[in-house]
Amino acid sequence: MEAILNQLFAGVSYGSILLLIALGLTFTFGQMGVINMAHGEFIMFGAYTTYVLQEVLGKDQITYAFLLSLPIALVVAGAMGLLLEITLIKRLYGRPLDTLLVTWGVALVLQQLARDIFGANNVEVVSPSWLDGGITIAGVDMAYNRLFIIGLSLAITAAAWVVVGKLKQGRRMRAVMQNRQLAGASGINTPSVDRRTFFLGSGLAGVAGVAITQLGSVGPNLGTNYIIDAFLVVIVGGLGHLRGAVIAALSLGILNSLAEYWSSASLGKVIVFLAIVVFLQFRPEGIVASESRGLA
Amino acid sequence: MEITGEEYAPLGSTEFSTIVNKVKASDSDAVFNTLNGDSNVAFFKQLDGAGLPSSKLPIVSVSIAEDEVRAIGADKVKGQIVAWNYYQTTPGAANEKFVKAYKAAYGDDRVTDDPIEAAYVAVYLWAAAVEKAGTTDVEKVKEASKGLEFDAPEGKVVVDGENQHITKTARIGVINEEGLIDTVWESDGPIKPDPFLETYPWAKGMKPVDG
Amino acid sequence: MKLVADNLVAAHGQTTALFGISLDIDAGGRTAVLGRNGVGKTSLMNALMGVLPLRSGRVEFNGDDITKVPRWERVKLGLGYIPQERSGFPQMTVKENLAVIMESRKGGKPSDIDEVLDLFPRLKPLLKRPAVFLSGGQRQQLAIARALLTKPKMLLLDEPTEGIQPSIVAEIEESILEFHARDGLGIMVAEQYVEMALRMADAYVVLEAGIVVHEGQTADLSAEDASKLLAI
Repeated sequence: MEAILNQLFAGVSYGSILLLIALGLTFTFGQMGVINMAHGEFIMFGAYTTYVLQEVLGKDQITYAFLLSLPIALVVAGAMGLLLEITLIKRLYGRPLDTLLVTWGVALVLQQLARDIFGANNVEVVSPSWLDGGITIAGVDMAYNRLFIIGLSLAITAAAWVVVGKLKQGRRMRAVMQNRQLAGASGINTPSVDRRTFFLGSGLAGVAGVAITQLGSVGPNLGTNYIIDAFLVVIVGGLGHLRGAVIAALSLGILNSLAEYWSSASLGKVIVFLAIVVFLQFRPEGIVASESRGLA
Repeated sequence: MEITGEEYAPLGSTEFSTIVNKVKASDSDAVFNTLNGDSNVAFFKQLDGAGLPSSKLPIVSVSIAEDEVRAIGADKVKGQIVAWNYYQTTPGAANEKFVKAYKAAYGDDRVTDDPIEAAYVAVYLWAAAVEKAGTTDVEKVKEASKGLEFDAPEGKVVVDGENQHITKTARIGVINEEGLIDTVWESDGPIKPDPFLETYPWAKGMKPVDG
Repeated sequence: MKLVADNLVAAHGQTTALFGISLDIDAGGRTAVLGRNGVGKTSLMNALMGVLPLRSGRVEFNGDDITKVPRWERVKLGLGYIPQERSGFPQMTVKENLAVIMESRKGGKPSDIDEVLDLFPRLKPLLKRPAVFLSGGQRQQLAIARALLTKPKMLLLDEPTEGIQPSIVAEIEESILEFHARDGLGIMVAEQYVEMALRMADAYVVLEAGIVVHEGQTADLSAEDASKLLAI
């Protein structure tokens, strides 16, 4: 029983990471239909933002460096996304294959850029001391850094939900995604909304990158480690639905940790992928379905 | 010795909570770790988060060198055990010179390690073979390399005539607080390379696969 | 105030839809665009609104050349648009459908929404319902309410009564005419339903295969003549 509870916690924890890395994609891919292969590299630059701040502020200011890097990574990754949208993606709307190839190329360029700036090897991001260690409740070991990421993931999702569901900006975003022509012909500056949506989606990737520094490696390959999982969550969740992304991320996280527990890490991944394939056979539109500007 | 479990993670995997849980539940005395690259960083960060320092769970790793320690953070892996042929702390004049030159070229905060040293040695050995052969023709260089000796940072190495591997000294090390590795055991001199497992009893009966 | 189209040519991919349409319309008046299915009424509306890109030709509104002006800027200049496709913003509630338009207009205020809702009281109990769950008539009322929130000087309506039950048609017609009378809102309505078009409009143009084949004043045209024109 304890083992199962431990696995459930591991699943929720993994799910919250999946949610963080996929949240931005629910905007850029889910809502706008842009297959942005450079999304992973925005995550990577978010992670490097933490590293740079830690180096700039010094190792005795780790807590500030870490907390400050959350908003700064949002802006850094968001600005990179904005630049990408203005220079390239804007010209490629409605051409998913071209977008895929172009953004993949951009991803490679960004990886090399990171190698040139920070070196090919991983860099060390020091964890704030209050994230070291953990507590045990009812036999379940909960590491503080994992608890923090679960909390962060919930907070960011809630914030995104408020922005999209309640704020002016989010309403405009949804209007453009649900009926682009009508939105334009009703006085909404659709390219401006696209730019803002892309900024937000890319910025969220940066925030995810900051969180990931606490659990994984920070290096030029960081993005490639996460990009596939991020797309999976968005597709399984149903394109462009926050609620779907939350359910998908948590289900995949828990399924993954249980499957891994009863088999092995490699086989567990296979089981998860098979489950996704079967699920999409029966429900290609994902967990939460509705009309949206999809791929085809 | 009893093997309490064996786990394989996909290459590049960064999520180790389940494996960490399994290790914890198995109550093992030690772990033999063959993870590579990014995965090691994630594995040790997550072990540390689960409250398993080296004093509770010693881990022998075969792919963590000084440069990986830098990325993981020495405090998370200090006391852990690794196996290589060379460490930055390996004594000898050749190594002192090498470490000094390396830091001068790449910065004081950088460290040398086994893969770095191996690449360095390989270039010198090849150059020596080319000089001896007087040509860069592959077959002639191979022929010339037989028995070549080089005073490497890890100690004297000799190219084996039969398979072009080199004799190396095996060293078991323990990671210290500064992120460097202290040798705690080493073989009596360089070991003759045996890439085809000819001297291992358990490999008897195994045959090389013909192209 | 005039809406002038000069030799508009436009196409959907390989298929040319407008073959050189020229119009000179009183933007403050009421004009009907007549023609059977597929003659280019919707394409003309879309072209005037900037939704369908032009191959050639120019559009002028209120003295300004708006040929290169994007559609959302045309809205600011005073062109309102009610497309034939009425799904609106399907996953958003009626309230949100209206709010998003109100918020996008400079100087838009929440009381604007109350004003248009007074015109369409049927929408009032439906404010929290997603647009996708509205009936055809309700969607059309919502569409007009949205367009009115942009405070247009001239409204382009594309087949506003198609597939809508007669009692609601009358209501829609009444509210539009009321706006025309009260605020001087210009109307350009594309209709297959000739009787209504003639009731609502003072001037008419007849389209056939992407060009204008007739134009004139509705006063000079009986419903019978109009039907004949459309049968060409």
